[in-house]
Amino acid sequence: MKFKNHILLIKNICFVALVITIGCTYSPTEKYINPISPPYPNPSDTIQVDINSFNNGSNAPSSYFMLGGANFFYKLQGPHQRIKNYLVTIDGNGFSTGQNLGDGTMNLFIDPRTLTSGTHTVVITITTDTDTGSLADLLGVEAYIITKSFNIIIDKIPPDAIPNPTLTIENGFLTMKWSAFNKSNFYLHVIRSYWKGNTTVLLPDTTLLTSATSYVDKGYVGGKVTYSLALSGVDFTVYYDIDFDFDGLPTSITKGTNEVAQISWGQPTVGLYSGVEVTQASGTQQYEAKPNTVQGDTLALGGSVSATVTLKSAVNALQNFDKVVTLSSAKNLPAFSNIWAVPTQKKFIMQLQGSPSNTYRYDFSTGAKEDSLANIKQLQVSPDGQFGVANINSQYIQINPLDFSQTITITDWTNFNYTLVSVSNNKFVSIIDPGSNIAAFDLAASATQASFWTNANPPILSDDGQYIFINGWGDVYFNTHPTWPTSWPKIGKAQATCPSFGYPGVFYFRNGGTSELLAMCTNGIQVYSLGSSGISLARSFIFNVPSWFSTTHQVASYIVPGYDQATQTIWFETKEATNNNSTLWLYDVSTFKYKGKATALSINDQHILSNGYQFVSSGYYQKIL
Amino acid sequence: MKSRLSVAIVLVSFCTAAGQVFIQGDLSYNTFDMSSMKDLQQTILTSSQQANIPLSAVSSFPSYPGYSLSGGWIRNRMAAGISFGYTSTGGRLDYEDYSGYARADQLLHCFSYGSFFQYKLNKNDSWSVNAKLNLGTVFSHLTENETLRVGSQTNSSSLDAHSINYYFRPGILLRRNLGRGFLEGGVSYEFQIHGKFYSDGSPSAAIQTSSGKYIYSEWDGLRLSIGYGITLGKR
Repeated sequence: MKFKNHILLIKNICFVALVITIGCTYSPTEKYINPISPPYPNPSDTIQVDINSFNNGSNAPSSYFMLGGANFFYKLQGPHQRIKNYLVTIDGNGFSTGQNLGDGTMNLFIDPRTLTSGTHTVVITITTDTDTGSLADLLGVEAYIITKSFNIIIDKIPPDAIPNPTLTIENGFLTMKWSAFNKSNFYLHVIRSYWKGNTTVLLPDTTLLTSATSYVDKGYVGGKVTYSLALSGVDFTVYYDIDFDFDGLPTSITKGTNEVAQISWGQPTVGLYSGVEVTQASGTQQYEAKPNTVQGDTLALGGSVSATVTLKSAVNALQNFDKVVTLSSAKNLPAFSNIWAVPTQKKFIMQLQGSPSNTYRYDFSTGAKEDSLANIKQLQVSPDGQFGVANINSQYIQINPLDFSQTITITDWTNFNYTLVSVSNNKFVSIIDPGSNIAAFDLAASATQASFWTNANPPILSDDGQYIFINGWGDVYFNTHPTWPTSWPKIGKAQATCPSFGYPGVFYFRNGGTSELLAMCTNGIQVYSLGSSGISLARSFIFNVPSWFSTTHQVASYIVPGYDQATQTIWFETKEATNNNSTLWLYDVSTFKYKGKATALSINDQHILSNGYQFVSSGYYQKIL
Repeated sequence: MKSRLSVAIVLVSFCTAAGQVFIQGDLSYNTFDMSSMKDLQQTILTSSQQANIPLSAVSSFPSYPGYSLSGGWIRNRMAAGISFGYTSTGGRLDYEDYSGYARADQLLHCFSYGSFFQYKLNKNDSWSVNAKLNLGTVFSHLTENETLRVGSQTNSSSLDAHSINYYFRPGILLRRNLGRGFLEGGVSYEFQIHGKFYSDGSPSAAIQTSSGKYIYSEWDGLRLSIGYGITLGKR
């Protein structure tokens, strides 16, 4: 082989080696091809974004005028894949993804106060899976992107001011009228405030169209109200207030027979009403809404009765019209501390409250004040009214109560701190000295002391001065010698049976001391027969009503029973559970037969039955027997 | 060092002896063990599936032809010489759909050179049966290409690495002498001592999988070869 041939062979071998190296090196060509189909190109053809549940989303408005914070609900309609992401932008700025309410529904709250006035574009972008299973899908880079946009319009400038609305009754209904507004960028409400005394009750707001110029309230039936026309927009609230008051139910209260109140009302004239309700201390009654007069509670002497007459609205109970009427006893006396009846003279003498104070004399039948005596510090009047002892300007003076003439100054009494207790027709007078000792003086003979007891309670003289009762021990003394010098031998002991320990009871000489001594307590009475040589229990009686144990007519321990000689009536006072007033229970002193009862003002007043008249110390009196 | 020693032995043995020189080219069918590469491929497959990439193994280091060129001296029943070889294989993980494709290729090729010894077992000059032993060094190169394309975006990465193995390949040859030329066919099995792969960019650090295993190119396997050679010089 020639050298050239060797060279050629080597070249060929190198060429073959190069071809082998380059061309015959293993290079895989196999592929795994997944024959899946690509997703549909335009998902918006089949998937809709539903805004605020407008059908299929396509009917949703393209613009929303916002009057306040609002929720936008959006979700995909039609068959769609799993939702991957929501994105909301306003004017291109990221805003919120909203709140996922489940079931693919998202809630987007937009507060227009955070935006400026004008038109803003909201774009909702919803990304869903394609679920094709492709490589891009598996890697999360293949998705359907569905967008929905709409505009929101915000206007923060309120409409021009209008003249104040009017509130009048037209065609039987309360009617509010106003001028039309030049804008509609607000909610329009009517706010109704009903005055109940010094407070107001708000009724639920009424929302009106912004184009409205009137509002008729058919539920108003009367009363003081404040109606407000409220404009509520974005970043502004404007009120137009107007007050109105109307008596929807003319009502009166008068005193009928037996002190029973009469409540009357007329025909309602405004609104839709459903009836009249009368509420008193005794309860509530329903009536038709037409003119009527009904019986009210009984007026207590010195007291008052009050009734709330409610005209009920047929629309809303909060619109009921309450009319309160009150009937009070008219004062027919000054307030007094002591009173003496003089039946034979048809007079009563009354010492006013305070010390010293004036003393008046009245005519029973006419109630006319006849005379007065000033600067009375103490006064006691005999049962027949012919004689009295008074402490005037620190002097004890015998007076004639029937003309208030001052007859004799008692110069023998040097102690000016006696408490005058009792005066008899024959001018005996019993007193308590500052040492709690008691004494009796015969002023008909002289002012000399007639008798004396130490450390005793107020002595009560019989009208004729024959007996004196020393309270506390129940001892009764008889004046065996009605003229000076005299003595008072003890003739017996009379005691009341009181349920309250330590309370001695109250004692009266019946008929001026000629027959019986009444030992009374708060729930009963013992009657003793009187004689010159002794006393004996004649009869006794315990009352069921009033009762010490009653829950409705309870006798208070501090309330004294009383005796009216003129009408032969004994009386007991109870405190009524319903109204805390007093009731006087009247019984015949001879038979204990119930004679009736009389109501009176507060239990705190002093109540006296005298000569058939009920007197109340706060300044009232009336004839009850 | 070992390959250099074997070449030196051949040269010393035969350069002093008279004989015929020959050159020979061979084409072979090669099988490969490649268990380490297959493990690496499985690791890539698992991690890709965990990343939602649904790769599938479409090629896993198949048998592939190899090429060699050798030359030497023949004297009596003995022959010896040197040889150069080349072969390749690879693996592929692949997924493709309308949205793109993902692919992970492991391409391996190697060059080998070494010495061989051959002994004629029969006396027939037309048909001779020979025993042959090849010794030498294998320079392997690994190219790891990973490509992910979705839509118009493509991410790709590649890794080039190299390793050195030593081989020992005994075999039986059947030769038909055709004047100055000869045809030769044979069967042999190659055993290798495996070296770690080192990145071309970081030659000092052996490559490991995430589980800590080193990777190797295991070219071990059956070799079925056919070749043609010619003798040079006088007969």
